[in-house]
Amino acid sequence: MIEAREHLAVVEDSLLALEKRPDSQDRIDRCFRSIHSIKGDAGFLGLQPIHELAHAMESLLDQTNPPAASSTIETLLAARDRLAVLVDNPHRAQAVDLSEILQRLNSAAGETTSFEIDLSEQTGTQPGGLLSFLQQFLAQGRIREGAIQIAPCDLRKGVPRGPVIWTGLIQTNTGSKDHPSPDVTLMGSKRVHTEKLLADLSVWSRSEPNLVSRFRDLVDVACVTAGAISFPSVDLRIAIPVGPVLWSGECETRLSRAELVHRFGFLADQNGSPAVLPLSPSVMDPKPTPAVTTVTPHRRQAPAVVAPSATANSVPPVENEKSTTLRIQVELLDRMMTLVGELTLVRNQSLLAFAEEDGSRRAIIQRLNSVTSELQDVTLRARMQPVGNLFNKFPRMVRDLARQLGKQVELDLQGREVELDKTILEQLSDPLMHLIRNSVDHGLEMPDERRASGKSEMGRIVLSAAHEDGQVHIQIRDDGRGIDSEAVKAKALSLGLKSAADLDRMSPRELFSLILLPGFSTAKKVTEVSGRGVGMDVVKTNIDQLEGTLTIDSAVGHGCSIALRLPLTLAIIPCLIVAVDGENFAVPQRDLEEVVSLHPGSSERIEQAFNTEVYRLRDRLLPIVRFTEVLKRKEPFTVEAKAEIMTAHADDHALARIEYILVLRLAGRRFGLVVDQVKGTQEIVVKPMHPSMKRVGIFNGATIMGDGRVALIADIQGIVEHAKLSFESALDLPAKTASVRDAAQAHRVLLFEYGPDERFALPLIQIRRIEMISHGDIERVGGHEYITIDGVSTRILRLNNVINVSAPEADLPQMSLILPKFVQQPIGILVSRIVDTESLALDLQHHPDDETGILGSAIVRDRLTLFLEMHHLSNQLLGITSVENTPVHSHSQRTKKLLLVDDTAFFREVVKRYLAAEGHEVVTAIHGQDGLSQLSHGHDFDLIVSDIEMPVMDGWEFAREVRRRGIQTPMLALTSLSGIEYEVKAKDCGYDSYEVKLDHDRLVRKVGNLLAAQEVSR
Amino acid sequence: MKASPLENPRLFCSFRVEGKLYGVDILDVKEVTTEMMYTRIAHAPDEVLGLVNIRGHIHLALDLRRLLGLPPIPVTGESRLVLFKPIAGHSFGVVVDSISEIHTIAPDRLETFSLAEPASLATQLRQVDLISAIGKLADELLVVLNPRRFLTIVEQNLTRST
Repeated sequence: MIEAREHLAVVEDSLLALEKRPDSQDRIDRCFRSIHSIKGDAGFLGLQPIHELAHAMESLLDQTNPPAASSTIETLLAARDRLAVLVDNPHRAQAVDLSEILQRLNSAAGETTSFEIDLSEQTGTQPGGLLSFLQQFLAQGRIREGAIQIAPCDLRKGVPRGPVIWTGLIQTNTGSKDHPSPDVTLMGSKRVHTEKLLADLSVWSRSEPNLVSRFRDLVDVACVTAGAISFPSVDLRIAIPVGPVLWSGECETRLSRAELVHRFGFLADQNGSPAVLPLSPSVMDPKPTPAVTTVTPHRRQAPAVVAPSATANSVPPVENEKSTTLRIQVELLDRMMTLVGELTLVRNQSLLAFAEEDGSRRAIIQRLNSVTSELQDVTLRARMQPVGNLFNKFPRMVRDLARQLGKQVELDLQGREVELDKTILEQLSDPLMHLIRNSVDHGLEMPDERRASGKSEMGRIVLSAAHEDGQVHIQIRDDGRGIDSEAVKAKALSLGLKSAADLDRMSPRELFSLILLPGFSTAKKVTEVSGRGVGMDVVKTNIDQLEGTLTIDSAVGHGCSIALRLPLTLAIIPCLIVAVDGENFAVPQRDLEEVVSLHPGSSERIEQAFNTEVYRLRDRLLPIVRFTEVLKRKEPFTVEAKAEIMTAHADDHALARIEYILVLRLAGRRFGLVVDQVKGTQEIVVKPMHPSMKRVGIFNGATIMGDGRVALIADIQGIVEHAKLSFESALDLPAKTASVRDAAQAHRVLLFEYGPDERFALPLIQIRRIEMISHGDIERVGGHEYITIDGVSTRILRLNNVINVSAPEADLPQMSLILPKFVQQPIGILVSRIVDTESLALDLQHHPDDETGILGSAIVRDRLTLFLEMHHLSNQLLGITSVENTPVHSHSQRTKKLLLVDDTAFFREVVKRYLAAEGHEVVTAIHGQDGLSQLSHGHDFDLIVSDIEMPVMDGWEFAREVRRRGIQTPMLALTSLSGIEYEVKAKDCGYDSYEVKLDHDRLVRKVGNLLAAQEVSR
Repeated sequence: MKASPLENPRLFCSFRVEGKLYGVDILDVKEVTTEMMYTRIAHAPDEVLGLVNIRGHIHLALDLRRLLGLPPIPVTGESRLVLFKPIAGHSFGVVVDSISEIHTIAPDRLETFSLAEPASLATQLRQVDLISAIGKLADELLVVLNPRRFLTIVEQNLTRST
């Protein structure tokens, strides 16, 4: 049954191809062969209706060559569909009325006739020999698909004496089926006909040639379409029957009955199924006995001989095609995987069992070794399937749809060979089908419309797949009318999804993503095919489930492109196998950028910077995590743990052995993972972590290694979280790529001392990194102090110079330099001692001295600590006064009123100062709920600036609620969360803009722009 | 927990830990193996010995000594891994000091467990949790354990530590 379905798929594929390129003989052959196989199997199984229908299709295909007329193809496709129905319900097939379709098939049979002529006979009978016969014959019409068949013999010994059969199709000039070119038959062509045959196998097996070779000869000259064996009922367990063993069957052959009977010694019974054997099992008995099975393999090849349209050299490709479409149950595959794993284990055990001295056995074991490895490799790949398997069902769908809608559509499939995990492939089917339907129905225009807009009438859809960055990209592109962004806006307005102002601010991509919302369709009319406003949201959901993304791009009048990105969440992933403390671990290669090995004696080493170990990778600092420390410590790293690690490895200057650093990438950032040993790469089968162990965050699965031991798969993100690795404090990377894990760091401050009297605090979020410097490196130029850091001349800030604080009596030989972020020129704050980091969640007291460079003070660890205001300090040092900053709102007369929502006192104070300095009135709220009550107290704000991570009500919910209440005030998200996904989410929640904490200039500019936009829209 | 009031005698797969006889309902047991190649799971609770490959399937191996609050000992030649069926929990087993025989115990010889010995509160709670009944054999007592609680305890410990 499965085989039949595959044949049917081939038939469909070929017919569709034929429609485009009618002269593709290869396609016809393949189609013919498939139908023929179905017919043969049906005959064998006694499924008469299928046999009958297949036969009619075969005849039509045979007679109308090439089946150029689209009506013929149409008929054949219709017949194929009927056949598919029959194949799916073979036993109910008897009841199906096929007369109509058979009638259609028969009437569609065209004007070509097949012929078979024995050329060896013609040479003698015709005057002028073979040449004149051929001339005469050719005058009758056009010959196609000619082939000459010669009985198997050695051609080197001369031309064969037996019949030389010339087969082919002749398209007669008359072109009418009322004239079935009688001349052809006159001239010796013999048509293929069906003969019922009967043979006594007991006789055949006793005489020469023997049974097997007789059958082999039979299938050379005839196609056996049905066969059954009957014999008196005996117990086969006791003995093979003595009496006659009758084989009754049907053959298609060009040989006459008499010839067959004579050549093979068939019984001369006319009916083929004699009444002599009342005890015979049903002729329809589908179970072939051994004698018959020798025939079966040949039966498939038989069409090459019988089918007049077949050419001998087209056989191999068809056979290949067959072997590429094998179906295996996934369960079976999984079991195979397990068994191969076991085999590997056995292999390894035998490797150990036979020691080296056993020379002869070692060779065997080594072969076992290589075969096992290969077997494992092959089995691993068996789960992957080319997307072609999925893509191939679309041409038919597109064709049928196009006809239904009266459109002309060409579907171009690209990247069919790209392989995807079977499970993903299956789940992709529905969304893809929907998207393509949309393209045909909504995307592409009617032919006249296309002509009017200067396009070709034939619409074009390109469906492509490609591997990229460990993901699969699937794109559906059409050259239709595209999505009208105005229509989308209008629809969004009418559905009340967004306000006009919102819509105007949205990028085209954002606008198009609206159509993914439930109930959104811009189609003008509802068609049968699609456009009932359901679907795109389902597509989105499906893609989300596969953890993929969907983006829409479109240009009105030029078409639309939908891109799907799917992760390769496969059961098998390439991994680097590493060893730590004698245990093996697998590190997924998709996270791996490179491996650095540090050799003893080399000058390169891991250095210590502030609270993190770093390695200078091509002059960029790579924060380092030691895997062994991660494994050792159950608790996420604390400051103390980090300090311990730093101390433990402080004297590692001279390496005792090679150290390996895996350079891993995580959400755009990199870090180094130190391991003891790198064992090589391997494709491993991912087994999920035991459910009870899911909470162990540093692993996300396990696998069985070649030696039978279990190895754990490292979860890179989990390790970073466990190690509390702070990219911010040690890495010189743009804040834009900061990840959520740094958000925790964002709410911490660095405590440090400069003079003997005061202690200072600066939020980590404003610190780029900390550098150790020696006093001697400080240079003085024109009264200013500079030091060169990373080749950049950096201005040194001594706190006592800009604010009223104490200064140290003398510089220490070694001092720390804090390099702040978001400054206009490189500056460094000179520090005599770094104390620690501390949480920021405290209330700020107003500083009595009312210094602008000091935000306020708080008691931290029993000491009065001054919180510095970096922006002001840097301005003061560089001689920039805030007066020189042109206020962006200068064109507006009115003072703007801003609502600032932030739970952290420090940030509230800083941002408030920034904004107040611009001349705005700033009202603060401590969380979303507080913000809402400010709004509901009748205050009218020009802009809302809100943090995201807050207690009681976070910034997401706050924005949603604001929008839900219909408040159209522009909103700016100001957060330490960064990453495109947060920006998108912020937009979804209702924020107009997004800004990562805490760059004064950017913030001020953004606020200014939003206020200006607000002004204009009024 | 009460012993199930079955009329028919129940079969128990028994084993020894620290010399004492324990048993689990044989219907919960999948197999007993000598496989002792564990892969330690860092950060897992002490009761977890590690992951073990049993014919291509990964199982979680627990230390019954630790579960019972006993000090761990190294694996010996007598050590066995008792694997449980899925009804008792997802692919797991416990390592016991040595395997004993299969005991048939009539329902009237099974008695609900009650705290007999004074022990620390934590250990007491844990043991009450694990033990479902005491079987009275002719010459000694068999402590019937409930393997369905094993993984729960491990999970609780893991949650507590993280």
